[in-house]
Amino acid sequence: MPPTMLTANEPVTAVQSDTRAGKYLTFQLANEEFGIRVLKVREIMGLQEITAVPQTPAHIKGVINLRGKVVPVIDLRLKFGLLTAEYTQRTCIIVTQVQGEAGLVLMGIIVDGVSEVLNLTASEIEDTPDFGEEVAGQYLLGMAKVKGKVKILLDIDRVLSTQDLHNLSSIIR
Amino acid sequence: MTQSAELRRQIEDLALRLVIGEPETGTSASDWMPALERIRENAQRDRADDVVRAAGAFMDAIRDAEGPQAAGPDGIATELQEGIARLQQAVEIDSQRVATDDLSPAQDPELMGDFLLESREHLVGIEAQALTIERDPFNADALNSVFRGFHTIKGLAGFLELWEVQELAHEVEAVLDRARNSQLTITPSAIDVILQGADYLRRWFSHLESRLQQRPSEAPGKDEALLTRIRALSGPADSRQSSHGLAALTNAVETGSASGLGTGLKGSYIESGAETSSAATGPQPSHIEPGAETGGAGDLATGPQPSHSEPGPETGGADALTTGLKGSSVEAGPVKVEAEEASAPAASAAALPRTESRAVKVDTAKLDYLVDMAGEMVIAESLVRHDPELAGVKSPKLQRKIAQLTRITAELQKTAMAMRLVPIGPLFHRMARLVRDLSRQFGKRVEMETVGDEIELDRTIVEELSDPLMHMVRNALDHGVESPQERAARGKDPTARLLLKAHHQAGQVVIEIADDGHGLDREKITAKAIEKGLIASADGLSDSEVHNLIFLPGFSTATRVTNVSGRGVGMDVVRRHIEKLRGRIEIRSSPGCGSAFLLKLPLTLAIIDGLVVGVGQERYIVPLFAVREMFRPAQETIWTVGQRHEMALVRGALLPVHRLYRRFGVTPRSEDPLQSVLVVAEVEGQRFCLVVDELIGKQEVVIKTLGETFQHVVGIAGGAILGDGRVGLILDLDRLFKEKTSDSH
Repeated sequence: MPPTMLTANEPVTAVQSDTRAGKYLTFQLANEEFGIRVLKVREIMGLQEITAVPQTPAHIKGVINLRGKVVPVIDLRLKFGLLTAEYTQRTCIIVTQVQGEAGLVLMGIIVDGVSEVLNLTASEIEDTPDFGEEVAGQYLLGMAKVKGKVKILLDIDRVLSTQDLHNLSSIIR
Repeated sequence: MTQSAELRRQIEDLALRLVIGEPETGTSASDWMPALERIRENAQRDRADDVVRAAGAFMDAIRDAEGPQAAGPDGIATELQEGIARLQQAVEIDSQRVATDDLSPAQDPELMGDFLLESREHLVGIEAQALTIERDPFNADALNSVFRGFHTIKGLAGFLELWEVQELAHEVEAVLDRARNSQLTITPSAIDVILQGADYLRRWFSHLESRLQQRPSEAPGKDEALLTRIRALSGPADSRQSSHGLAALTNAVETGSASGLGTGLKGSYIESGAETSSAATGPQPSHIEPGAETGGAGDLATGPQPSHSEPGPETGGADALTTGLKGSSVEAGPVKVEAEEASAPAASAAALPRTESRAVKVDTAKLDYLVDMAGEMVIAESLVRHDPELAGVKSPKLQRKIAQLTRITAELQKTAMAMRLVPIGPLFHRMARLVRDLSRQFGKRVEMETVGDEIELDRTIVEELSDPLMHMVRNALDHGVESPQERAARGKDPTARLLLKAHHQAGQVVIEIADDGHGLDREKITAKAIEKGLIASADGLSDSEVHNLIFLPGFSTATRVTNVSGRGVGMDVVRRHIEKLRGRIEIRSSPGCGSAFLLKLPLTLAIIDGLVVGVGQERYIVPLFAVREMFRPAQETIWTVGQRHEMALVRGALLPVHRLYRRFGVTPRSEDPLQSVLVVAEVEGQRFCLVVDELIGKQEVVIKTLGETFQHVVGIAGGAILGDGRVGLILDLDRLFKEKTSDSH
């Protein structure tokens, strides 16, 4: 009995020992390259009409209809305090599945454009350098150097944490 | 296990190719086949059956999609998306299965969940039928049904190794079995024991449920006292232990050389074959309270004479000794014979027609998905129907086909919605138990009657209605109904009537809770309202305004904890509950004749009749049930108050005006109210006006939650997909209005 239990848990522990290696979807945001775990990505879609929701922080653009489901959409540029940019042909919504307070929720993020999928090994990933700033660091899983370029790996669960959004909205109100 | 991880990785790769892959490489089946073959082989090696099956079905689907009836690249893309989703699910299921494989059935959460669901259904049936038996002890159908309920629970509990549950169910079953074989007559105290047994099981079930959800919970202790009481009913030997008085009685009778009689004495009643047949013919004292005193018993021992036989339809077939015993016990006095049971209209409890439900259990998530998809289909259909290119085609044939499509889609949506509806009957019948317990507690006699059991409502509404209904029933029994003496003094039937009635009215369901008590007391209500500082004086208030005072927060006196639901709440909570269900509550009362509470509820929570309004570039949906009227204001309609607030004069009443665009920070088309439309809405009895730019139309919309991201947004109740496929926001007038009033303070 105990051996079976152990094996059942093994993949989990295996992943934990090496959490950051794996496949990442990379995208651009204001001249920077970001990556999020591919497992979190549900769908990539072109920009579509977004219904604004009142009394929400500016980075929450509103909601879209995803095949009958109402899905919130976040503008990642605004969320990170970057300059706003005109939406272009390349702008798209990455629909992600993130951990909410009560289970998984779908959430869209608006990015400047999707690049590629990278398979990152543990050796390619480094810890985030200490910027002396705690706030930025909590969203980051680490940095990856691929072919001389740096990709910023995001912990999308944290970035889109609804708790965070609530705090923000309460500040704004 | 590493193999399983590999399998998982392969499937993820596949999903990745779909999400990321360029469309031109993803449309040919041959691109996908090798990967799928590998997954299937791996899965077979891992014995991950679900994955093997999913992969097989997936490959078939792709082959079909590429066959002669190909749906084009889109078809394949859809197949791929769905197939991969299924594979992902399958691999999850298989890995979970590995984890639970070695556990006994008792530990299987799925089995336990099914057991709880089924057993709870049985408990509801048991309770309802037990009350039927109480009124009509010879109702064989009801008796069998209760027996079957306990029997099934016993069987399932044994399988799941829930020994305490099994033991109790077994004991009760034994009692019921004796009753079925006419060896025992069910009395109110026996019903008590059966119901207590059911309560005990319910406690166990909630304990098991908590454990299933990984919440800490303490198992209910073994209730020996209850078991003893149950055993006392099922066998004569035990009755001696359970009641000293009766034990003495039995002994006394036995010493009177009537040893055969001992077996005729049960814990709390006397019975014989002849009685069983005769009791049905008319009112007849049929049991002796367990508190029989030894004095009486001594009497009996000396005087078991047939000559003492009591008048009544007792027929000659009865054991002479029994008859004598009974007669003398009535005479001797100390043994109280309960006649209440006989006075109950046994005839009214005519066996309820037992309808075997031909139902299938379906996960509500699946139902919701079906509803979602049906809604999407309606939108897709409407987009096709209104397509400008199609409108240019003047073909009667095409028009007919489209009309047909429209009809079918509408029908489909209606059916999908209807699947969420459940009849209200079971909820009503749950109140029967409450009425029984409370009327005893309050010393009142109440007969409950239900009408319209078959009326169907959204299951969420029915679930949410349970608490408010309980409180209103409690209120009716506590405050509405008079005591039997008082009723008799007023020339009323000492037994009060409580009516629970459901019926359809104008697309809504109306639920009526009516009693024939003394009605709402205007004096009492106004006195209390003044005492609580809710009003200054009642002068000039109409009766209905006075009645509505009981809904004000702070009016309720129910501060003590009641045993109805564990807490006392006032009518304000009841009203809030009902309004949360988008319903309304009304009172009808006439002094001396009774009062009625009317709950007007929507058929379903999933759909709402909405008024679509435009504000700037945005569209909002105002729930139509709250809208009273709408009009374009004239110059003399709008008045400003201190340059800050606005009021509108509507039908002689001044109502506060809220400009929706200010509230939501939207740029309106015009700041001039004369260019806009006023929508008069009413929430919790208060009216106010909303300023919007235009009215777009009335639409029935399916409500969708906006999710936790927006749970703190005040004034938005949810979203809905509008006819053009975009999301529209549904206003939460209640919160919008309340926030507004607190702002202006």
